[in-house]
Amino acid sequence: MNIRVKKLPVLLLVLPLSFLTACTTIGDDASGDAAVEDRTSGAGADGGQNGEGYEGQTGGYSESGMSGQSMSGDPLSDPNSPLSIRTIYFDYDSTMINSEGQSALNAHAEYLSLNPDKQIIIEGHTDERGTREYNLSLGERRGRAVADFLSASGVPGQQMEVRSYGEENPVALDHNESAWQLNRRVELLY
Amino acid sequence: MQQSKLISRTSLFLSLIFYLLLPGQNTHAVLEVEIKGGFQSANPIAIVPFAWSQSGGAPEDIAAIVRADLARSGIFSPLGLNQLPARPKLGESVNFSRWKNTQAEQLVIGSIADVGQGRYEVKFKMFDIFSGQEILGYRYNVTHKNLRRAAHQISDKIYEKLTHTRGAFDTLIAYVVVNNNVDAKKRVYTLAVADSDGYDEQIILKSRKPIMSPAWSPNGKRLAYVSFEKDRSVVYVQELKSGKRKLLAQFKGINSAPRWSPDGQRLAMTLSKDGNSEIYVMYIASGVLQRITNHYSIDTEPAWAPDGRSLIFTSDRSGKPQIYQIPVNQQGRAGNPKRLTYEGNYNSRASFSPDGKFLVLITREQGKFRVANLELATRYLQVLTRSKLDESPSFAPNGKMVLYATELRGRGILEAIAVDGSNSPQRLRVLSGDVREPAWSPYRSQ
Repeated sequence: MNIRVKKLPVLLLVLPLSFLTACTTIGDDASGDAAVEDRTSGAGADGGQNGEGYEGQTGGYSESGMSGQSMSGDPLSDPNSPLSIRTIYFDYDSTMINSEGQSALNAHAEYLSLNPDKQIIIEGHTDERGTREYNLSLGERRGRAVADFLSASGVPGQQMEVRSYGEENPVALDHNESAWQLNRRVELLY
Repeated sequence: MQQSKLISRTSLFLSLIFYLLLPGQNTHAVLEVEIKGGFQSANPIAIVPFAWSQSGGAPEDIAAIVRADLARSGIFSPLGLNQLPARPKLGESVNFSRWKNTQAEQLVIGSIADVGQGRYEVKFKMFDIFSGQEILGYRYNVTHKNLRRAAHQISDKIYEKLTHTRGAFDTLIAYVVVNNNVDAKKRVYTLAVADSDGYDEQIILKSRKPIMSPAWSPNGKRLAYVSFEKDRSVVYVQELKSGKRKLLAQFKGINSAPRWSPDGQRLAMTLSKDGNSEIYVMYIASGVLQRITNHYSIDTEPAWAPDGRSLIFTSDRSGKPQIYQIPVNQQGRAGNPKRLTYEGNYNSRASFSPDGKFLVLITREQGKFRVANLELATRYLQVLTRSKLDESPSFAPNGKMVLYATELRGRGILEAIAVDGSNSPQRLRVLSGDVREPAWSPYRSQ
């Protein structure tokens, strides 16, 4: 934790704005974009309240976009934080969370434990293969697998809500394996 | 005998005014089309464009609608316009020797006339070409709006006369259309109802969030469906005529897969309020809920047996999705589930044929998801399609065709196929956007 906090301000200075916005296009729900807006609106309600070790600061960046900007205090809005990973991908017909997903979820578990006022929606999705209603249940099973992981890492159940969209909300519309890989996912919505 | 049967049926299910032409005409030389598994040749039939003698063009090409209906059934192959040796009119004598040179076994001649006050008279007669005898004749008096429906009723009359099975052309289909924008926020989902050939679309619901699983009430007057407009799946029941709807199930977790009981009083559905997907039955008037399954696996996609005494459902309790059957009664669960499918490692979303002898379902074959027909007595599973991503199969109310969604060149489309696999899939009218989740209505009664 301490290491990350020390590194952050340095990294932030060199991040162009375009990268910040590019990171957040996957969310398909307005609530998924809330963290983006926090960034430019300066110190949000959470600034400095989260025990994360740094104060919220008023944002501002130069017209050229070359120099860095400062962040609000919440690491949720930090694109370099593991918390910026909000999508966990799955193998076909599987609810196994791979090591990449696990390390992201460990960060979310820590954050949620330290911020008991934060809620997340855990949204399960599948690819288009198979029948829709079965996939709706499969999406929920994926969401539940993530919730179980977070729960085992100490996140109380009342901070989490599992929802499923099954195959109804794809992020990639092609009918091939590369699209299916992107669609088999769980999204974490703060 | 034949005619009295026809008369009694007409009074049963038609709102339109029509009656037999030339009652008393006898019908001996009926050429029957046997509907059995494996028949190869469709019955050639000639349908002459319906005569229109008033100014302007005819308000509707009735013959074209009938031709398309009969061709879609797979049982008939209507002659093309250029194959017709003549265009006889009703009331004129027909030179049958000319028609004997065609492949056709029957000849249909009709007319349409504006009779004022916005109404039209549509008449037709069907002749057996071999004997030259008239074997069927009806007259309809309809508004402009009901001309297409009259055409579907003509198709039904012809179909029933020649196959001795009630036609299902004068029926409706419900489906969901989405303009599949990459940006989920720009997607628009439409729940719509159209004639069985995809025409005369009426919009039931438009939403920015997904809509799933439309299911017809047994009287055809209401639809149950799943909508995500509250950002999660909940079940609504909507009356088609008034548009009035009721939020029926919004429990914690999934609320999905509503299916009406044959008595119309209950909905089977999938709820995950108790932890994971289980089958429940809800009494619609009171909201009384009965839990039917209890297993840590996924149980979903319930469907009623036609006698209402059991439910089938998809469960992956064996590791992969398969179809199970469980007895139910008025009090809920009435026995233990029994597995019905063993062939292949993915069988899902089954529904019963109207006679209860078959299940149509989605099966996975070499990684492809296809429509298959399972004969319950023999457990013979016949794969009907050759496509890759089939979904949501449902029977026509006469049990002779299956309607399903599939994907063609990246687009969702609807197809229908004869349930005995005797013809190739028939594409329904291509509508804009991705079409999915079709459900075939019961017979229309009014």
